[in-house]
Amino acid sequence: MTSQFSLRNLTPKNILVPHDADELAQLLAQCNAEKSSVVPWGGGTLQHLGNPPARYDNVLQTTRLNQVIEYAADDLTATFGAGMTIDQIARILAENGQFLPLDVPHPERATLGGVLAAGVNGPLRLRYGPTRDYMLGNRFATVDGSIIKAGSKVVKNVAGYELHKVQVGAFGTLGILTEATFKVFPKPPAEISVLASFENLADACAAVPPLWNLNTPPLAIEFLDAVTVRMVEPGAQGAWFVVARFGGPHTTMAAARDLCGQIAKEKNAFSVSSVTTHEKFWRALADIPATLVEQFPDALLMRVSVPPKEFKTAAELLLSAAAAQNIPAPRLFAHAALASIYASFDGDASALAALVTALRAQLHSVGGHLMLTSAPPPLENLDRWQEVGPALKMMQSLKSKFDPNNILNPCRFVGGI
Amino acid sequence: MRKVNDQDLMNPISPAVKELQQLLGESNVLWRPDDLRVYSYDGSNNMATPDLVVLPSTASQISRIIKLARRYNMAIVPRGSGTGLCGAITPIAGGIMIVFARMKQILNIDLENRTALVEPGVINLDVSTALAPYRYFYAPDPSSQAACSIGGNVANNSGGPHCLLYGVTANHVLGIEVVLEDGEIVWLGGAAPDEQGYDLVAAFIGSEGTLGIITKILVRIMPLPETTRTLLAVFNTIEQASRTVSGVIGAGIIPAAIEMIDGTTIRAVEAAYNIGLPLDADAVLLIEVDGPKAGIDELQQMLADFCIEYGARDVRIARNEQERADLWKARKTALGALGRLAPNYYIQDGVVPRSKLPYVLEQQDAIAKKYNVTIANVLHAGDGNLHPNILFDAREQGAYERVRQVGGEILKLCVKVGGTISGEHGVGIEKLDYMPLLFTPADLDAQARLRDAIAPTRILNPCKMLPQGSRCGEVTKSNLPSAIAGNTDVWI
Repeated sequence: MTSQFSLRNLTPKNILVPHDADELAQLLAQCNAEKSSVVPWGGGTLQHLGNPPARYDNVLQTTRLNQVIEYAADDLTATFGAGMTIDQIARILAENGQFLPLDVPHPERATLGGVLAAGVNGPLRLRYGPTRDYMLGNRFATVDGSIIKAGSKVVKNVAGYELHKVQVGAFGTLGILTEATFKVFPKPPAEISVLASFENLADACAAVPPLWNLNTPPLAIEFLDAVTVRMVEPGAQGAWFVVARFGGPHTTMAAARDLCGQIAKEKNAFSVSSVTTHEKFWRALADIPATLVEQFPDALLMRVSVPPKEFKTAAELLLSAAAAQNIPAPRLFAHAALASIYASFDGDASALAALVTALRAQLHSVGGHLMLTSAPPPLENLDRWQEVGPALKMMQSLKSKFDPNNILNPCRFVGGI
Repeated sequence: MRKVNDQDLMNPISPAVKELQQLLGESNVLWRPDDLRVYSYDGSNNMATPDLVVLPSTASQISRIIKLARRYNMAIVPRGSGTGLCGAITPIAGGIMIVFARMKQILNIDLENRTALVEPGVINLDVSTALAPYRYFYAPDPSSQAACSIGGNVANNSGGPHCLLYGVTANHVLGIEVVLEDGEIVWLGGAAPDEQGYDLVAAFIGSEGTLGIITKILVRIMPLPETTRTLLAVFNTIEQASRTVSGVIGAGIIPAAIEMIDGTTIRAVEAAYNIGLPLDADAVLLIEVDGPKAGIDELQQMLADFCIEYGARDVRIARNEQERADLWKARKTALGALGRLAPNYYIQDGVVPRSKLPYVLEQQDAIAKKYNVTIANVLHAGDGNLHPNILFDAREQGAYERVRQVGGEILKLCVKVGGTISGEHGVGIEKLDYMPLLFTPADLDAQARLRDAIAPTRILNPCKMLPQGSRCGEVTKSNLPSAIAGNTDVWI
C-alpha cells in the first residue's frame, strides 16, 4: 500500500485519506499535535519535484475532495475541490464551452491542489498568465486545524492580503489546499497550430519573437528538438521545431496560419505544416516534462528559466555546458516565448554535478535560474532549488508563522524550508 | 506607537528633523504645519496630518529613513499621488510620510522582454505615453490614471475599466525592489518566469504599504492591439443595461471593457460637458473590444445586436479616435461632474457576481430610498464592480454618518450575494469595519501572520487593512481618526 507513495526510497508510516475538508483539517491538527510530518498528496504526478522530505510519517491524500463546490457558468467563475483531477474539471467546464488553461502533465491523474501547490504552468501560460493570475481565491487547512479562506469568488477583489496566491507554488509547506476558485474562460471558437522545422538552432530561436508579436496573439509558442518532437509528432523530420498555437474566431485563424508560415519561411524553416490531431498533440506536448522523466529515468532533468530575450543564449548555454563536460547534448523542450526550458542530460554523476554548478553561475549572469526536476540516484543530494538570496529570511519567517513545528513537507522546499 | 502631540511638535531643531535634513537636504523635509496640511488627505473623505513629510530620491535614503523612524518609534506612511479612495495613506498614527515626488523616473524599457522598470512615483499614464511610440502599452488603467502613481497602484492592486480583459495590477507586475522595515533592500521576482520560493511579489501587491516600501517596479508591457472598437448603448432602464452585461459575459464574450453609468450620472455629465447623451435615459453602456482587424467587425456587430436584443434604444459606434474619446468622456468625467449635484460624494467599491447585477442594483435602489439619499452609479459592469456614489453635503449635521450607513448596507448586500467589499480601491481605514463580513477571525489571523512574518514591528502604515483585534498594534482607539471612531472629521 505505501509503496505507491514512496519518495526516493522513503515510505510513509500512514496513508490518511480524509473524506472532506473538515476531516483533512482535523487529521492535520492531530499530526501537528504529535509533531508527525505530513506530505500532502494529490495524484502524485509532481512528487518527483523538490527535495526529499527530511521526515516522512504521513501522507495526507486529497483525492476525496473531488467535488464541484460551485460553478456559476454565466459568471465565468467556478470553485473546485482540491482533489479533483484536471481532466474532471475540464469535462465539467466543457459542457458550457468553457475551460481552464491548466495544461500540465498527466491531467488524468494530476489534481488541482497538487498543480497549484507545485506551481507548475504549461504552454497556455503565454496567453492566460500563470495559474495565480486567474485563481480568484482558495481555502487551505492550516496545522492548527483551521480552514482559512483567502481571496474571493468574484473576478476582482482587494480585501486583504493575497494569501491565496502565496499558497501557489508553496509546495504545501504553509498549509494544504482544500478548494480553489477560478475565473474560467470561454473556449476559443476555433484553434489552429502551425509546426515549423529548422536546421539551425539560431533560426528556430529567431522565429519566436516575431511569432509572439503577431497581431493575433498566440496562445502558446513551444520549442522542441528532434527527440522531444517525436513525443508529439512521431513522423516529424528536422533538428529544431517551433510550434505556435492560435485561438479565436474562425475568420482570424486562416490569416494567423498564413502569417505564421510566412515568418517561419523568413527564418529559413524548411517545412511548415498545420497540426492535424490538435487536441491529442497538445495533450502529448503538455506531458513532455513527465515523459522525459519516464523515458529517461537515469537522466538529469532541469527546468531553466531566463528573461524572454535570453532564450537563444540559454539554449546555446545548455549545449555548450554539455560539451564542456564531454557529455551528450541535452534533449530540449521549451515554452519558448517566456523562456522556460526543460533540458535532459545523460552523463556520469560527477560530470552532471559539475554541469549544474557551472550552469547555475552562467544563468545567474543573464538573470536566470534553474530547478532540478528529476535526478538519478547518485545525484540525490544535490539541492533541487536555486539559492533564493536575501528573500529567504522572509520565507523562513513565513514558514515559522504557519508551520511552527515544521511538519508540512519538511525540507522539500527552497532553502531547507 | 508615538503620536506626536502639540508640546513636542516637530520643528527644525527637533533631532529627527535635523537628522532627516542632513540625509535628504532641507528642502526635502517638510515640518511646518501649513506644509503638512497638504499631505493630510487622499481621495477619500478621511483626514489626518503626518508629523513630517520626506521626499527621498533613492532606496538607500528610504532605508535610512526607516531606520531613523524605528529609533524614534514613529510610523512610516508611504504616499503616491494621493488619489486613493480608502484612506490607506491617511496617517492616523502620525509619523513620517514618505512621498515619491522625487522618484518618477522610467528607468528602462525593454521591448524584447516586454518589461519596463519604473520608480514608484511614475504616473500610470506616463508609462503608456512613453511606450506609445513603440506601439506598446501598460494595461492597468485606473480612472485616475492621469494622476495616480504606479507605486500606489501596486500598493492597492488597482484595477480600471480594461482589467475586464487584461486583469488587475497584480497580473502586470513581474518584480519589485522593496525596503523592509529593518532597512534591508531586497529584490523580489524578475523578468525570468518560474521564480522559486514563496510568491512574495504577490504578497506585497495590494499590501497597502504595510509590508515594506516599494522602490522599483518591473512591470509587464504589451503590444497595443491592432484595432479598437467602442460602442455606446443607451437604455431606458438600468435593468435592461445590467441584463445586457450578464448576457454578453454569459455568452462567453469578454470585451476589453464594459462600463455603465446610470441616469443620475448621465444628467450630471450632460449638465457639465454637454456630450449629447439623452437626458431621459436611465443607463448607458460603454463597450470596448480590441484585437486583430480580422474578425473585429463581426464582434462589434454581435455586441450591437446583443444590446438591441436586450432593449437598447440606440447604439452608437465610434468611427474614429476622436469619437472614441468622446464616448469615453462620459465615463471619465463622471465623478467630476457629480459636483454639480452635491458638494460631496461617498464612493463604494463592492463587487458582485455579474449575473447578480440586476438584482443588486434594484436592492441598492431600495436602500437609497430607505435612507432618502441619491446614488449616482458608475460601474465597471463587466467585472460586476459597483461604484455607487452616495451624494451628500458634509456641512449638514449627520449627513456623513448617514451615507456611511448606506455604504455599509450596500457592502453587506454585496457580500450576501457572494461578492466582496472592495474590488480595486482597497481596505485602508475605510473598510476595516467590513472585513469581518468576509473573513472569520481565523482568516484574519492568518492574514496577520503574513504581515507579522514580514513586518512584525508594525511601524509601516500601522492600522491599515486588518481590523482591530487582528493585532493592529499599539495604536489606541482614542487616536484613531473619525472614520473608525465614528465622529465626523470630513474635509469639506
